[in-house]
Amino acid sequence: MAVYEFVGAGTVSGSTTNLVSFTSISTSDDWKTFQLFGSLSLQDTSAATTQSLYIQLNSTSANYYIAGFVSSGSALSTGVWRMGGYSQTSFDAQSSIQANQHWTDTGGDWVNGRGTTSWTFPMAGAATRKVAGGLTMSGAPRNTSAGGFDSSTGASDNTDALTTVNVKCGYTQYFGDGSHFELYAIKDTNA
Amino acid sequence: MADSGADVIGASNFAGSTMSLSFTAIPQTYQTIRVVANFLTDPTAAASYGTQGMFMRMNGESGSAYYNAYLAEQGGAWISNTGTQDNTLGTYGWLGNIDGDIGTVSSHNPFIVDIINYAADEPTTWQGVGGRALSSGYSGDFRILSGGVAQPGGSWGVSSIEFYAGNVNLDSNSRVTLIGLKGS
Repeated sequence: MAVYEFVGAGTVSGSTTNLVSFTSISTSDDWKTFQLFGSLSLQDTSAATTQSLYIQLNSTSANYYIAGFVSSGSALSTGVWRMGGYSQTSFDAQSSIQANQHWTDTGGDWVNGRGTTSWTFPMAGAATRKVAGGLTMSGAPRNTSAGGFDSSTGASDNTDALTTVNVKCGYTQYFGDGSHFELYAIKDTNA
Repeated sequence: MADSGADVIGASNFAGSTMSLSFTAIPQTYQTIRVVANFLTDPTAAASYGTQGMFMRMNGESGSAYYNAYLAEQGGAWISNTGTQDNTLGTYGWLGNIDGDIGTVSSHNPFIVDIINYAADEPTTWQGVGGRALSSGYSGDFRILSGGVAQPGGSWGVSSIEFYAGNVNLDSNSRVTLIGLKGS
């Protein structure tokens, strides 16, 4: 009997994908709240500077609503801003806009940064609206300039029990070798 | 029936009031370590140190291998000077501010930090939240933090973590618990 269970993990190799998916998540194990952790780098394939990390639940690509604050890594007087929006296509880790640009996948190379992300989805395994709540964060320390950071919350209109989690980065970037994601589930009873 | 996805892999206090606490021989069989800690300062030294730092080091690495990014408020305002968000090329992982030994009451300084994929032969990254409350004469503060450490010495995987404070002892009511999140 366990109230906290491992669902799955994925480690990227080959640097040819911008999508990591957890699919066929059981709906019969009484899993309600889910937690996703990631340690990642990105390999940029263009000079694009506005990329983000995205989460989609049940592969739904519409009607997400988010709000939060973002540190772009510069002086706080100009570098911290708030975000809020609606009708997005995903939950969105906005700190990556600055922090992920030009990351490489060279393992020990911190010039271009390496990041973390964590997401909590309360009651996503129930037939309720999807929420990213509490502690949804993305950080990207670097050694050449200030790292970025964000914390946000959000919701989507999808009300199906969770069966798929997609983690995506921008279309001009790939997840670097060794990028790692893991998914856990929490029950809401001891049974 | 599934096994628990999480185990306690270490728990301790700062016995006898010391500045440092180390966990060694950390098993390499989990995916992520969640650190749940409350650091209580010991004011009995009465050396009148004000705000101090709380740090962690991994695998005994004390070189300039750590990178930190964080966002913090103190007393209801963003801590606004450049550099408080970013502490590059540090010799430690920066957890945040705690009280010194000024005053007569222990300060409570809770932190929750997730060290993700810690056993991999990759640079290790973490993120978390922390703050201080029940402060003696100081405004409380709160921060969200992220950091990482390179792989000095090549092959890497975190097998030891030291938590230590600057210029203040942490009393024996402090508690640090390491929870291992399983990968199967």
